[in-house]
Amino acid sequence: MRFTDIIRLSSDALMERRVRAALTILMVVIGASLVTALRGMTAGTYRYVVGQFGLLGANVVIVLPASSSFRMTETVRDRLSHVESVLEAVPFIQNLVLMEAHGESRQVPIIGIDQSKLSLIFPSIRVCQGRLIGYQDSTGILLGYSVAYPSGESRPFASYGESITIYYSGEEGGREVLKKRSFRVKGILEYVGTSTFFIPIDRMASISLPAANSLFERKGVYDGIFIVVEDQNLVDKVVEDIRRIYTTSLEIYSAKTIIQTAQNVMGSIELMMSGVAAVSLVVAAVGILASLYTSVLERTREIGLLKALGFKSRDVMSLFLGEAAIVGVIGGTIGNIFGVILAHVLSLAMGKFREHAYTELFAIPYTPPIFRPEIFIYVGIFTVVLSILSGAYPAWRAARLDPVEALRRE
Amino acid sequence: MNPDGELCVETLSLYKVYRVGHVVFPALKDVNISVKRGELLSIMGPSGSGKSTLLNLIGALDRPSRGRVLIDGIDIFKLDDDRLAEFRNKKVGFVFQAFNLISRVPVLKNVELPLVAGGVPPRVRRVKALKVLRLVGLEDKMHRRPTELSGGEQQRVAIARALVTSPSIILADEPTGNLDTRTGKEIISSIKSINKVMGTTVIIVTHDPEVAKATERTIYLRDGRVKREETNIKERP
Repeated sequence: MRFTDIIRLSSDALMERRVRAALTILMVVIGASLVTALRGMTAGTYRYVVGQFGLLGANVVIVLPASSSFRMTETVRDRLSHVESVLEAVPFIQNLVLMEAHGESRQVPIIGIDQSKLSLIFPSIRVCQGRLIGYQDSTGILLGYSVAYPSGESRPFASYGESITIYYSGEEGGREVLKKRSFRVKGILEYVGTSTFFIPIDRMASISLPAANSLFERKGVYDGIFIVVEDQNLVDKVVEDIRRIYTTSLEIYSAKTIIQTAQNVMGSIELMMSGVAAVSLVVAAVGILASLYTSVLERTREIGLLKALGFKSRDVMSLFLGEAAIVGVIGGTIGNIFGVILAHVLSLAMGKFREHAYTELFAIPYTPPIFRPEIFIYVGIFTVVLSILSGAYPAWRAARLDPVEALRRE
Repeated sequence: MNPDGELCVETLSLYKVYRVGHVVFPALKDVNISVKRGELLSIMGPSGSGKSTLLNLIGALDRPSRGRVLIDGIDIFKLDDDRLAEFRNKKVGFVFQAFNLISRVPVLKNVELPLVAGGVPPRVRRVKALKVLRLVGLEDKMHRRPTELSGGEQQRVAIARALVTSPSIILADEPTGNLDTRTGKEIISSIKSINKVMGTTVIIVTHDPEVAKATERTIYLRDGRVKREETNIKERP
């Protein structure tokens, strides 16, 4: 029998039971699209995470207090700076504030840091207007590019040289009050395009460390310390040394540990989604099996006829496998297309959800899915192979029907 | 060789036993028949006499428990299953009581079906199918679905399908069983004219004496054995 005839006869048979065929295909579509979407989203997030380290000095370690009871003071900084191979220990204070300029206000994460050390931590950042804020400057502020020039807006939020007001919540006499202070924009950073180390450089502002200390009434307690190591190969050793001194009171994040954390999180999400995808593919496989098996039962007489007319057992088998393969090809193709759409919709939705997280320092923003062309081929082949395997049993049943018996069946 | 005496079908001490669980049911016992090329033969007998079993064995749909079947001199049950399928495809045309047409495809495709099994290219298939449809007078209905046709027309489609591979033998199992008397007569006369014009050997299984009488020779089966044979005079110049 010719290949084209197998395809034609198989599709005729599918068309005769088109509702059943469509539902079977739908099951395959759901399974295949989940797999495609999952792969695309994982690839997108992975590229984002890896991209975090393109801009960051790979020799940087972030140290955070493990609990709020631990006071990260100058003593701690001093001790860390004397750990062997440590070049600098740069403390920072961070907070979320409401920033107002030209009567408009928005939430901006703000970081207080010795800005002369900024280029050690983020080697690739450049000032595009003005300059960095001096250590003793208590009113100067450095804006990330997107804070000054929000994307999609025609006029800048705040320009170089302008004054802005910062509102933040502080304590006075044991109760929370809204405080405010004015700053002058003395510098604007160049557009980086991505956040680094999950720190959204473009979307945040920076003031001097003493200014932040007094503004947020920290009394010399830092939020964290960037440790700059002499060489990136010594990072692991430094991390170990710090861990030995402070045991569990400090959380230590190196490029490596952050990648690992991110991968763990992604890994568990991927595992969960893989589970869902796998279950739906198994359901699809069972669906194909059930629908083809029913079809074999319904068409017993027809199978007997085909054999009487000279169709070989393997021809009959091919016809049913052909049906399974067609279901697989259509399901896989539509599944791939739906998968791309699904991945974009899900990424956007998760990005929207995370938009609130934009205002935090260590947050992963919207990451568009990435589809390497092979993934479509893999999903396609996998789906077709799975479909054919599911069709194997019904096809085999059909092939070994006794023609005399089959023709007698009503 | 004497062409008139050349045998198309020969069964040699043919036995067929059916087993259902522990019950053994002999369907054919030592059946020896010979059918000449171009002969129009009928097989009669009561239900359960083994006539359909015999027909299925001659058509290679089933294998005998013992004995041999020679078709055109070939000992068919020495062939493996695939060769047997090819043999059915090339040498045998079946006509069934229930027509057995595939309702989802048009008449033309139904007639082409045996050629599909044989791997014949589509264009050749079409030419051959049209030729046999013309022969049974249904070429104008080739695009219709079988269900849109009358019973007689459907059986003529089935006859066209049986003829399309130019088989040496046509096996018809109660071809008039689902038709009214008049249509049945028409079908029998179609079969007769094909037998005469194309020289195809035809074996009809029937329990209608009228049908049997229309054939050249009738073999009577009873309890799986050949009871007697009768030559129906007239015709055959």
